[in-house]
Amino acid sequence: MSQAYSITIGGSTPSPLVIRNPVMSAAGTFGYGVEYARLLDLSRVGAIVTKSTTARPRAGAPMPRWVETPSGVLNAVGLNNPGIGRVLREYAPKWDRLRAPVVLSVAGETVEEYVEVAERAEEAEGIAGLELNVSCPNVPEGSVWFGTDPELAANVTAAVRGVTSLPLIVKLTPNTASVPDVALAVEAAGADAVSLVNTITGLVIDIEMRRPALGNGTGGLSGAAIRPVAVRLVWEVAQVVSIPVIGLGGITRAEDALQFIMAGATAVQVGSAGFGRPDTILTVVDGLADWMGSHGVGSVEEIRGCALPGGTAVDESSN
Amino acid sequence: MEPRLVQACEPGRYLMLTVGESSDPYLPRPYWVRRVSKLWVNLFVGVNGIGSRWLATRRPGDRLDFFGPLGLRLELPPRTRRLLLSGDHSGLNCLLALADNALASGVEVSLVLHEVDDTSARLAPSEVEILSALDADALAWADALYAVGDHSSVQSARTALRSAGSRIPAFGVPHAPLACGVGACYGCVVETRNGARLSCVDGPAFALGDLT
Repeated sequence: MSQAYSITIGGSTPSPLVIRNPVMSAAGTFGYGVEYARLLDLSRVGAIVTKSTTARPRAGAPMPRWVETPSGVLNAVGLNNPGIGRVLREYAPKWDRLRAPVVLSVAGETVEEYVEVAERAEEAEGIAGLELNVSCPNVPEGSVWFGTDPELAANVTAAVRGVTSLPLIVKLTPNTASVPDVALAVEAAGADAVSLVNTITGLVIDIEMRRPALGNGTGGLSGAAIRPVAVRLVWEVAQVVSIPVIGLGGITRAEDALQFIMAGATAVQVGSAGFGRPDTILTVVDGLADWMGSHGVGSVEEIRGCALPGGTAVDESSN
Repeated sequence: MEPRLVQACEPGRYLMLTVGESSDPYLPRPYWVRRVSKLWVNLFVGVNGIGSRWLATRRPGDRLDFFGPLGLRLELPPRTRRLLLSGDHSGLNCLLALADNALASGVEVSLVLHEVDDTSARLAPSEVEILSALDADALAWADALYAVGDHSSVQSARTALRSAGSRIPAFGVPHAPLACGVGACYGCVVETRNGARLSCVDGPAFALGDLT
């Protein structure tokens, strides 16, 4: 792929995240990248976003952690991860060989924990950017998620911005009344981009066991089932922020990615669809190029946001 | 299947099969396979859900998408002469692959089939003795054990081994729900005395005594 697909995030940071095409992996669905190195040519992927990583190892939620739903999957993994220390020791030395930029997804229960992980990442080699997972309960504040409140989301963003020179993406949760307000708040607090949506909270009951199917009870829904909700939220956020918007939620093929791009997304992420077919992310990369070629579209920028109000929709008479 | 992939389908290793036509069902299904020649693998499917129902409607010549084989091969402990296998129909592909391998190396094999049904029993090679209980007699005969099944059946194998006072090399292959198959989704955690492990990449077999 050529210049036509290349995008830049964090253009004002000392080392912007420049990716060869706008298709990234989504946090929590691609491990730390190395898990897929034997299956896929990762040099064709735009960027890899890692599993969310906390300051210390986390055991996570009780089993079962994933339950299939119609055209989707509900999960509650509970941020099970080896902690930033082990991630930097065991995975970071291998990232160079993946030949794709690696964005570290950062999670925490307190602002201090996010800052600690970001500081460790700042000192490490081989990390091209950070993505803040703000769909975590803010422990000092009780059960309120950082990402559901503009002020909490802005606080954690500003604190991390204060300690990192890396391009900073904030991943927004759909589980709040006003996603655009949170997006504006994190933009003002120094985010270089926002990605959305994280999973939508849901519940599946196992009727034979007469209890929730997931060990945690509720979980986050992802997959094709949530795509219209995700496209709508990207479309709303893209109308209010000036920073790049990265769209995700139910992308299974290039046509899905194009919906997000036309709704205003600069880039997209492919998540749980990769479980069924690990090469989904490459299928999206190739399909995007094919579609643009067959439609005479020279660059992603040419169609980005064309479906926004006042956009350049195709005239019915000319189609 | 390509010969090199067939060759790689060793006992315990599994394929992730894509089921359905588009996004429904959404997740792939892990299946152990039994290698039967240089070009073919056998796969027995117990029909019990939407994925297996779809698989059961495939016709000869239909194409199946998969990735793998994944997971670690199951080894016979050195100097094994009498191998005891234990499980139910859900572990049948794995048990039969183990049995084939053991028989080929001149090892005697007994298979404890829980909830025995005649079909499962008929699929086993004729040299395999079919038993109905994992009891002290069976354990006294064996010099190695593999128990395949859900958490509770693997745990009862552990209990049987203990109460028989047996010290033979013994392995549990607990079923764990797989979403990704490659260690990315952290959905198939198996608790061991050495901490949490992922069944998909660290397993499927674990020392029976280490499983908690």
